[in-house]
Amino acid sequence: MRLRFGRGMSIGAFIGMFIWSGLAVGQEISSQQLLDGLKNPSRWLTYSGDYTGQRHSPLTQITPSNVAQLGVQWAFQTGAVGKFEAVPIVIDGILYITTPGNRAWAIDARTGRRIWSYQKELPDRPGSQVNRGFAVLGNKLYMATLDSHLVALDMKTGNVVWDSIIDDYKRGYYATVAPLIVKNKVIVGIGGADRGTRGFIDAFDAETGKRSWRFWTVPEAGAPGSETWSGNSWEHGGGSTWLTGTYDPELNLLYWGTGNPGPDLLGDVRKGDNLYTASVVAVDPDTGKLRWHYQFTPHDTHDWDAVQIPVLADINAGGSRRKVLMMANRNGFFYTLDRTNGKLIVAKPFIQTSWAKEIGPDGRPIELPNNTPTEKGTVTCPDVTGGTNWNSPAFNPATGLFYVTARETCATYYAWNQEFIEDRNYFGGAGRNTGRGYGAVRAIDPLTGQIKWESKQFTPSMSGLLTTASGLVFGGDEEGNIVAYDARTGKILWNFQTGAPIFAAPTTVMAGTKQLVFIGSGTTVFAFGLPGN
Amino acid sequence: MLRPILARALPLSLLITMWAVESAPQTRELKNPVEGQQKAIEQGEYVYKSRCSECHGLDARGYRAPDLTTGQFSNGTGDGQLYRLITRGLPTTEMPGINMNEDEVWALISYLRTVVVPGTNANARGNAQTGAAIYSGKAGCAGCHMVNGKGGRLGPDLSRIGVARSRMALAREIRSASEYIAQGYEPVTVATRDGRQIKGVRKNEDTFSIQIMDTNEQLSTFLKKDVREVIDEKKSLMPDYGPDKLTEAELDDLLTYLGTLHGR
Repeated sequence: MRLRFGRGMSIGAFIGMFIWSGLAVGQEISSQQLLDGLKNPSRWLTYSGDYTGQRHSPLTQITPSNVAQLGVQWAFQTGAVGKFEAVPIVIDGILYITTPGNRAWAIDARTGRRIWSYQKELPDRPGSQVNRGFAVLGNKLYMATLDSHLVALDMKTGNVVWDSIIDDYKRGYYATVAPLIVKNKVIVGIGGADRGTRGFIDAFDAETGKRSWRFWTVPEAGAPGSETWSGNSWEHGGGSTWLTGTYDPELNLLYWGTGNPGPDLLGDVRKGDNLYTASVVAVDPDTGKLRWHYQFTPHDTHDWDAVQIPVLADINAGGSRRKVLMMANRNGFFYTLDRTNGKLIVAKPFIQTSWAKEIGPDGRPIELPNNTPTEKGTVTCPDVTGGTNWNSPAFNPATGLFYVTARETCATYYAWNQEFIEDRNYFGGAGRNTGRGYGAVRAIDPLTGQIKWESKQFTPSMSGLLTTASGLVFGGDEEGNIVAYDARTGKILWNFQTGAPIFAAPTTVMAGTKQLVFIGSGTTVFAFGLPGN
Repeated sequence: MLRPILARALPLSLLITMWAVESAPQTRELKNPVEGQQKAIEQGEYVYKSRCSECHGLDARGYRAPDLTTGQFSNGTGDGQLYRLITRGLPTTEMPGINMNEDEVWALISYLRTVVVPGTNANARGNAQTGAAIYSGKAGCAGCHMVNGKGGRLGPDLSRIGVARSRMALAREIRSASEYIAQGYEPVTVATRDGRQIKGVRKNEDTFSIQIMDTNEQLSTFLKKDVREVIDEKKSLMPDYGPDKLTEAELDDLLTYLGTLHGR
C-alpha cells in the first residue's frame, strides 16, 4: 500500500509537519535576536555564538563539579571526509551544520536524527575541502562554498533559495568562511591568497542575494594604502578573509582579520608594508568603508594570516571602562586594542617567538635580524601554521581571562622565486618544521598579556575553545580528545576520546531540559550531556 | 518493465564505466604533454621544491627518500607510471599521494626528467649477497627489523626499504641512528609512580595515556595518572654503526643488499 499525500503537499512538508508536533522547527531569526546573542539558551546563532566572538555561554547546568559525568548522548556520522572545522547553528532543538565538501545537514539536537541534507555541486579540483558553518537570518541559512558562491537555503527543507557568485573560482578564489549577518546583510570573506588572488570582504542582501558592497583588503593603485606595495604587486597581493569577523552594534563597526600577503614567503617582489594584509580592519557594515586598521605583521613573509577571531569585550583598564578588541595572532603575539580607534593597549607573546623582540609603543613590531626566508632557509618561531590559527579563542568575563589553544613550533623558512600562474599555488617558498613541537591551552590576562595558566598538549593542536558561566573551558586536541578545564585554574576535569583530531570549536545549548555540548570530529558530530534531565 | 529498462541501461552504464576507467589519467599509459618545455620545467622546479624537496632533497639526490637523479622509479619510468606514483603515492613507504592539478603534475615530471644524471648507480659499489650475510650476521639487523615477515619488531619493517630510502639516507641512518627517528620508533622511558622504568619505542601518546613497545616487544599502555614521567630519550634504541663496527666496504655491501628490498 502506498501513502498518498494531498495535491501540492510534498513529502518534505509532510515530514516537516510531523516533526513540528515534537519540536519547534524552523523558527525565523530576526536581526534583534542576533543582537541578543546567547540570551536564548536554546540557540547558537552565529559562528562565534554572538557578535562579540567571546564564545562565552551563559549556561550553567554543566559545572566543574559535575562535568566528570558528561557522556555521549548521540553521534551523527556525516561520512564527509576532510578537516571538520564547522560550528553548528542551533535553533530550538535543531542543529544546522556544514562539513567538508560543502555538504550540510539539519539534525534533531535531542536525538541526533537527520531532518534534511544538502550538498553543493562543486567543480572537480584539488584544494581545500573545508567549510566552517552557516549564518542564519529569517528563514534562511547562508553558506559560502568552495567554488566561491554564497548560497541561501530554506531552513525547513535545505532547498536552495538563491545562489550568488562571490567571485570566479577559476582565478583561485574559494570560500570556507561561516558568513556573518549584520542587519539585513550577509557578510562573507574569501580565500585564495596562497594562489595570488586579491582579497576582499563582501556584503550581500540577505533577501535577494545581490551584492551590496565590496571592501578590497588590498587597495588598487592610487587608493590609500597602495603606496605600501611596490610596482603592480598589489594585483596578486593576497589578504584573504577566511574566518568570521565580529561586530559592535553600538559603534556600528565590523571587525575582520585579513590574511597573508602574496606570494606568502617571497617578500622581495612586494616591497613595503603591504596594507591591509595581516591586519584587522574596522569597516562600516552599511557602506563597506574602512574606518581604521591595525597591521599586526607589516610585510609578512611567514604566512601569518591575521584572520583570527577579533574578540570584543568591555573591560576595566587603568580605572576606566575600555572597549577593547583582543586577538591571539598567528605571529605569536597577543594583542589588546582600543576598538574605537585601533590603538594598541597591550601586546605580549603568548608563545616562544623569535622574529620580533617586542611590539613598540607605536604598535609596530621591533623585528629581530635573520628571520627573512631565503633560498637556503632560515629558522624562525613560530612555524607557518603559527602560534594559533583558525581555532577560535574564548573570553570569559567572569574570570577576565582570554583562552587560546597555543602552538609551540619553529620552522625553516625557504623563499624561492616563482612566476605567477593564475589559480596555481603562489607561495614563493616553503616552511619546514624543525620538530614536533607541542601545544597548550593558555589563559591570558588581556590587561597585561601575562599567561595565568596553561595545560600542555602532546602535539600542537588546532581546536577551538568555549567557556561557560559555570566556570568551564571546553577544548580539544590533535590526538582526538575533547577536554573540559576549570576556567580559573586550567585543571583538567573531563575528557573523551573522539577518535580523530579536533579542528572545530565546541558549542553548547539547551536541548529541552538538557544542556548539550557539540563538537565535530573526524566525520562525526558528537553531542555530550549529563545523565538524567 | 524493470527488466527491459535494465537491459537497455546496463550496456550504457558499462560503457560509461569503461570510458571513465580509460580516461582516468592514472590508469592509462599517458604521454607528458609538456615534456621538455622550458616553462613547464620552471613550473615543475617550483612544484618540486615546495612539494618534494623535504624528503628527496633540494638537489633531488635523496635527503631521506630515494635519489631521483638516477632516473629510476619504483613503479617504472614511463610518464603514466610516474603520474600514478606522484598522485597515488607508494603504500608502505612515506611517499604520499599528492593532491595537485594535472598541469602541475606534468610540469613536475618535466622537471624530474632534467635532474637525471646518466650512469648514476651507487649500488655497483657493493655486493648484495655479502650484504645479506652482514645484515643477519655481524650487524644483527634482523634482531630488531623485519624483512618479508622474518625478524624483530622493535625497528621499522625493511621489506620495502629499497624504494623508500636513498642509499645516502640509509648510510646516514646506519652510521648515526639518532639523527632521524621515524614516528612510531622514538625511544622513551616510562617512569611509573610505583617505581618501574620501562624502556621502549613510542607508538602513540596524548595528554592522558602513552602506548609503547618495550624492548621485549611487548605492547603496553600506561595511563598518565599512573606515570611519574615520560622521558624522551635522545639516543635511538638502534646503535650507531660507526667504522669500528662496519667498514666502508661492509657498509657498501649492506646498502646494496638493502637496495634490493622492494617488497614482495
